[in-house]
Amino acid sequence: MLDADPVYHAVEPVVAVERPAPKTFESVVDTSKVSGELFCLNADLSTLPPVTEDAAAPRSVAVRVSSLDGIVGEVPLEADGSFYIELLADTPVRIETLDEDGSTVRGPSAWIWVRPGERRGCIGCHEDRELAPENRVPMAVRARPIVLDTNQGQVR
Amino acid sequence: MSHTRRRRWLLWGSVGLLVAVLVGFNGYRHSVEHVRYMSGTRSPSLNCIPCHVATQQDGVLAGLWQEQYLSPLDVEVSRDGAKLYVTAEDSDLLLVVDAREGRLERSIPVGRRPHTALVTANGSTAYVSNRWSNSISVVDLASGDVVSEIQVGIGPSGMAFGPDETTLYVANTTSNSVSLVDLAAGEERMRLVAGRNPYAVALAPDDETVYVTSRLSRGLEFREPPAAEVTVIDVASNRVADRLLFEGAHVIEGIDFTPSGDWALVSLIRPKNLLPATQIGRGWMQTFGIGIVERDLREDEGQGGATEREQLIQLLLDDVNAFFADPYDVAVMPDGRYAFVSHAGADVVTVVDLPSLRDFVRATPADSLALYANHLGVSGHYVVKRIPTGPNPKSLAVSPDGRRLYLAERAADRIAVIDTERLEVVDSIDLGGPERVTMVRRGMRLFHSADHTFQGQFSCRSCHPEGHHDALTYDLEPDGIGLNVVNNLSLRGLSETSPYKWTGKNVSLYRQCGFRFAKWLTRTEPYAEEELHALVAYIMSLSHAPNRFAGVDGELTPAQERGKALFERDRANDGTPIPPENRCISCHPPPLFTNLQKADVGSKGPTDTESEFDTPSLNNLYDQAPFLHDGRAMTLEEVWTKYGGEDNHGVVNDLTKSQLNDLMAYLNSIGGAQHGVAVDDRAEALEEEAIE
Repeated sequence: MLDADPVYHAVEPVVAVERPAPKTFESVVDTSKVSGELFCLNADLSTLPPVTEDAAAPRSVAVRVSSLDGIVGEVPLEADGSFYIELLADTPVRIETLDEDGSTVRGPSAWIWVRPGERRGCIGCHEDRELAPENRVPMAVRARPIVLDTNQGQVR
Repeated sequence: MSHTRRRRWLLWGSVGLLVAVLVGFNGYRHSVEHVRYMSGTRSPSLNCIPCHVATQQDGVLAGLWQEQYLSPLDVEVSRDGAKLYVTAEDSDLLLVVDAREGRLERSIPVGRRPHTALVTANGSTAYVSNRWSNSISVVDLASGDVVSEIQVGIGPSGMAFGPDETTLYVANTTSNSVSLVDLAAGEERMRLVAGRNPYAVALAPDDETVYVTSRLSRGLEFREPPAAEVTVIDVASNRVADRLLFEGAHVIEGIDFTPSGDWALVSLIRPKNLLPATQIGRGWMQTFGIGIVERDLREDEGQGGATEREQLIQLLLDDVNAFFADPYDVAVMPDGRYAFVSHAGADVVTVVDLPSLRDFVRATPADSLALYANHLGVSGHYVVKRIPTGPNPKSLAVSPDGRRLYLAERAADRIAVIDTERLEVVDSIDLGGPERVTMVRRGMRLFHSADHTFQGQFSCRSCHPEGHHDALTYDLEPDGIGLNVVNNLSLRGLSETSPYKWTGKNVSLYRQCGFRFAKWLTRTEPYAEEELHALVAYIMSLSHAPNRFAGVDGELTPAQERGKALFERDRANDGTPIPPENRCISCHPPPLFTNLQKADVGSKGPTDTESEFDTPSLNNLYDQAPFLHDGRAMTLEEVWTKYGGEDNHGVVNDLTKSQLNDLMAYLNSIGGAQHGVAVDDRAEALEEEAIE
């Protein structure tokens, strides 16, 4: 057996067994589009500690979106912590939450992006990954997304 | 020649004759064009059979093609554990099974669409609820005869005996009430208002309260989360003692108590209909779990009697990457060790270790417990096994000694026998259903299976219980987030009401359930062609339940007659002519009560991108609330009052309140006459009494 052969130095061998082929799924990427959308149900829902030293984390009032070239824009959060933005596709951005003074509450996040035509939803920012979303209409999706022009660094 | 062989010869002879005619008259080309036109697809394997043969319910073709399946729904065990009593939903039978031999003993015809069977302690009498007959069949088990029928409300389903078997509590699913039947007198004595779509009934071990679960939310506001009710009935006074609301949950179909009665356990679905349906993973569409009614049975010294202060807990049975769709029934072991939950969409029985669940609940602060209602990572604390079963597992019953668990495998016509020590299926009882799997039967299995959604997250049935609807509105992705929310419609009676979708964009169910359905909703591979044909055939075979608001031969009550005149009128109350396009009957002509066209009735809302919507059929409108394309009207009346507008949806603003009532009375009767079901005046009067 390979795992017992001293020549191979196998580490954590896994038994390969026959199984049904996993189902594929159809991509929603639409290459005719140049942007994608991102909405978050509650940007304050997070397992990360706030960067401030205050014991009580201040409530975030906005998120700042930054690209490789700098700040793309700041988007106010709705009262339920939700936001809904449209971004240039395939362009990495980082997101951080801000308090009323414009100071960072949490973040910035790792680099994320949206594919052309993709509509990506998040429950929170670095929230518990085993959490299913709460069933409510996010306030932010009651209006059209705020368009962030990643190239121009402006909120339109 | 046997019946089967004769039938096969007839079938293939008919096919041969048809082929000869088609070839002789160049009919093949026309047939292909017809199939493509009607289906809106170019599927090479689609032929005449799904629409013209497979869905036939009556007549010669049905006799040749269809099979009479049993579809066992409920299973009960006799007090001595020797017999099983099984309702066969699709054959209108009560089956008596020798539990020890695993052999069908007797089939007893009962009413239409039997749901639950209850047997008296002495084993002499069975009571069977018949959903389509609106009655309880009283069966003398010695003779095997139905000795009487007790009329109850509409759509009776779950039942429970009261203490000493003097009273039978019956959940009338369609009329949203609970009938209290005096078994000595053999008649209904009282009717209480329940939640919407009451379903399962259970008597608490202390004999003091009866719990009735509900599938839908009563009075659900537009775009608010569901909250289904568990109605608590005080046995001594026969009054509703409490209405417990499971917030964010619905389709509560199973209930059982722990032996001490300190917990009532229910099955439930936690839907995510208010979120934009942009993804499935991590429970973005549906999650499935259990609810716990934690009953405080401590003696209250001040009152001198037992008090109940219920705490409601919800926990998921799903895992992070695997979902267990459509939990149906709950059964607790007599020793309180395990609770079993059947998952009708996942073909498994989940085994919940109750001591572990108690430890988990005790160790978790209340605010964390509330959070865990949406947590996919906690089921490992209390789920000890998933037992694979046959297709569409439904009702569960534990033997009196607790050693065996019986499970109705509805889509296989079998009863699975599970060893409660080994926690595995050890035997299977064949109830004698047909071996051949018809196209409709195959479609029925597909419809009820979550196997065709990403991570098995939901089945068609999750949103369309019994092919009907879940009374929720959904924000689907293709037309934009937050835009064009849609009212989920019933699938019953759809076969001739093409086009589909509220926008009327899909000319056939093949389009509706095809490639785009997989891309935007189930998020996995689309159905293979043969599967799609079977699924569509099943959906097309779904019919409405008999309409209790209509007379035997279509005769109407005086109020319905007046409403019909208003529905068909061409002049307003002041004599002003009503243009043809603004009369009710113009867009809703019989027999489908839709002209199959789109119309602008002034219902466009702020988030809609279109103003014209498909005209829905009005058949069996009485149990299809909410109304309008986005479900904003909670009641039929709101369609023309709160959202009436400027007479765009028919001319109605001149109607008096009593005229509007007459119109509602007529609308509720639409779709009933052809079923030939009598309206029981006494039952109707009790219904009105309950509503008041």
